[in-house]
Amino acid sequence: MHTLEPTGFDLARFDAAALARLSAGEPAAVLSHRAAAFELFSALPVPAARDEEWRHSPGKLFPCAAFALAAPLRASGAPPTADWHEDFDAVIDVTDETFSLHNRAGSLDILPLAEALAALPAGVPQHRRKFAALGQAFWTAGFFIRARAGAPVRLLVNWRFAAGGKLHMPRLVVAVEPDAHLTLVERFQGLERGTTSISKDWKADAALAVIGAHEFHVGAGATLERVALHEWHAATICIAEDAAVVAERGRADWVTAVFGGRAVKLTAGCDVAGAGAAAHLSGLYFADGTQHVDQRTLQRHSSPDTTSHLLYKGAVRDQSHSIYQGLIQAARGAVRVDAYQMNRNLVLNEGARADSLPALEIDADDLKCSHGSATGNLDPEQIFYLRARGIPEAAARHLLIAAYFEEVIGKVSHAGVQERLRAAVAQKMETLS
Amino acid sequence: MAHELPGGNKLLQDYKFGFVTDIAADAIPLGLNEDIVRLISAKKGEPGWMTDWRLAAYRHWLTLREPHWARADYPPIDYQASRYYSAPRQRAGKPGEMDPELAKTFERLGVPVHERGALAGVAVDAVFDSVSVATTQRERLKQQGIIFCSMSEAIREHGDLVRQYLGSVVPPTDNFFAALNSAVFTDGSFCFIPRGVRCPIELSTYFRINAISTGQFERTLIVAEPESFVSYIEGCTAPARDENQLHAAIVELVALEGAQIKYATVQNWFAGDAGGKGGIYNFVTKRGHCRGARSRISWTQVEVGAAITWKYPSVILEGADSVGEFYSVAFTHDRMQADTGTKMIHIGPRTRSTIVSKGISTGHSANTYRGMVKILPKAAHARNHTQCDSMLIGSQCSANTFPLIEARNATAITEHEATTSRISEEQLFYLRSRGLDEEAATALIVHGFCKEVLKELPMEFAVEAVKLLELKLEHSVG
Repeated sequence: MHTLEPTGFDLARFDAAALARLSAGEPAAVLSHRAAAFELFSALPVPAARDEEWRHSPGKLFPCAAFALAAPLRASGAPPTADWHEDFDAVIDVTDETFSLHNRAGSLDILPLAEALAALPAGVPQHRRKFAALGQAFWTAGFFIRARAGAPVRLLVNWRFAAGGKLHMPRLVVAVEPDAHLTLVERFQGLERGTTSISKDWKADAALAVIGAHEFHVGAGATLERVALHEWHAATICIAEDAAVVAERGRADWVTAVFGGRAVKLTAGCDVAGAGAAAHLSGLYFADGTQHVDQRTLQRHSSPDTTSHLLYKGAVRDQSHSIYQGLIQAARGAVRVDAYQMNRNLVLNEGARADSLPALEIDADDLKCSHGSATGNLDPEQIFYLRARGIPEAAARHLLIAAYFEEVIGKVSHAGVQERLRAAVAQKMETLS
Repeated sequence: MAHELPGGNKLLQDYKFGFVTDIAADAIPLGLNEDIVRLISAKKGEPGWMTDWRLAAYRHWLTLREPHWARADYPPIDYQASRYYSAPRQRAGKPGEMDPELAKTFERLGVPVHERGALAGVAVDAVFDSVSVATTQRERLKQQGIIFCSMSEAIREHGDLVRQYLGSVVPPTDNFFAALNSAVFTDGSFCFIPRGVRCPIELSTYFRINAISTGQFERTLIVAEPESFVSYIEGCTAPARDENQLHAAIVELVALEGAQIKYATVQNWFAGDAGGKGGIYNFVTKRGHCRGARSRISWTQVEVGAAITWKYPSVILEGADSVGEFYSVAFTHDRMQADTGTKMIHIGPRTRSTIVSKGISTGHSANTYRGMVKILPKAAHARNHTQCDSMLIGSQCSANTFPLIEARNATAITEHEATTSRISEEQLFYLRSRGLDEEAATALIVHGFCKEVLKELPMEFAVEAVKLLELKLEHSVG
């Protein structure tokens, strides 16, 4: 049970001197991008335990100040290391403070973010959120990805960070140009696969901290399919802010899966900003031990004639705690909007806790928005049915949990990723009776 | 200086309760301090413990800050500019008899303050500004051991009972407005239903704010002893003025083993004019406590008035197998802001709760449902079902839904569903093709939309509520 005091975040170390040290030797254009984000970061208030969004995730769970900022990435030239690299047209491997790039796709440009920012004429749009601004100012591992119109391309990004007291700050800026089609799979791993339960004498130097800020620009008629797989080891703290803007007739399909991490706070915001734009956000999370998994989603309809559909399914066991906060926003004048949001939680034993806060903020009238939330344990009748067919109770429970998550897993197009998700669910159930 | 609003605009013609009664009042100076608290207590002839209780609440209030998390915009409230006590003056030589002006007022409001055969089905406590002016049907109730009287009288006559239960559901430290109310509350109703008694008639309180610059701080306490039943109705109105008046009430319900309390409200405080001028700030703490096993508390509310509503009638489900219900219709028009909902706190095993909330926004209004369902670890097999629907009529209004569901028991089941949509074009078209005009068609659709809630109201009250909704719709639509 989390009985931590609601103390604020200690973000004092992210000061101008730290920024100057990090960015020493970078081109002026990069510095000006970082400086603009830093200015915004400094102006925004530090999240307090009183804020509704952070009420369940106090700063004490995310002791960012205990970690040393990682050094900027350098190229290693190593061959691709991932399991599925042959299925992808391009692979980015990030291992601690080094990276290697492998790109066979003619219609895909991948650049280290520093090089890209120097070439980008205009500033990247800013999100007025504290940790997004922090990630935009202090990123240590950044890439710019551009998919041009042509055949669909598949990109795999492996983020692998070792435990060792470092704070890594990954950042992707992804532009899917009009009528292009990009499939992006991001796999987040801690290099030490620890045990699933977290020891009491948790030490920062055996742990890992990650603060990420990604942004996605989906052009007219373009499609972005993205899977984020959080397989952090048990001593990882992670805060990530993902924001997407989808232009007319564009489509964003997101699947976020969270299995690992000591404390995880993810924000996924999607603005369907052009007529005919659609967003499909899906989530899968399974927490055990004393894991703390907090996810927030935003379906923003800033334009008329837009669609968004969300399904987040989670399970909690042992002493773990999950929080889901979802918001559907329809701006004034955003008519003919169709928005749906569904959150389901399985609470598998006494002591585990699932909180659900689905919200609607509607300022337009000609639309249809709805949300649902259901929390409970497995249906005893279904267990009884399976047992009556000769299936032992534990196996019956496992089957029902696997079936419960299949609805989300089925939304992923890549078979290898589907298998990985099933394996991760199975692993979480190993000790479940 | 506040004035009555000119009667020229449509909305004020609708609000037929917007008149002022010209009656001499016994009022105390504006402002709030310990002396005022003592003065209120003295005016009501309260025992020392009550005065101390009020003072403790006042001192605590000074340490609190006004909450601003609700979806409501309003200028800062000057608590020193309000009058905390105003009572219609007793006529010389005729103690105990109601002033004819006052009787006329309640007559115009349709409240039966004189014992009358025709309305024998309801017992009424009428509260005018800060004091209860009449309580009917008392003899009939007394025969069954039921106590139904004003809170002031209860403190004097039934001190031990009041002392046992007052503040036991909403403590004076609960929140900013609860602390303020605990310090300065003036009147309200007290109901006590003894063991095994089924209250034979509806109990009812009618609240009326009349005096200028006066806040109303009423306090209602209902105690239902084991295996008893009571149905209670509350109604409210105020004159149309261009100033904002504060209404910060507390209602506490205690249901012991096997007892059932049904509490219904039709809230029709003055909502301000079309430009958002004037109206009542309705900041209310209502909470029921299902203290005993198999007890049952049901809140039904029809909210059609007040400039700002901040109100979350809640149920603490402590007794095993207890049941909490919340049925709400909130209608907002013009510049009204309503932030309302409920909290269901499941503590005991097999506790059940149902929430049905219907919000209708028109004009430039904002209508927010805010709710919490909390399942604590010991609430095995607890069950909640929540249904929140919002209907938007017009393009300048907004509807928000902010539920919070906390589940800490593996055998509990919670379900929440919410929808927001505009009034159905197809249904309107269908009704219009059958010869109904747009207003009638809209009224019919809204009635259907709210039906689930309205059917929970006692019959006479349901008829009144439907009429009220139709009246409010008439000038908000089209």
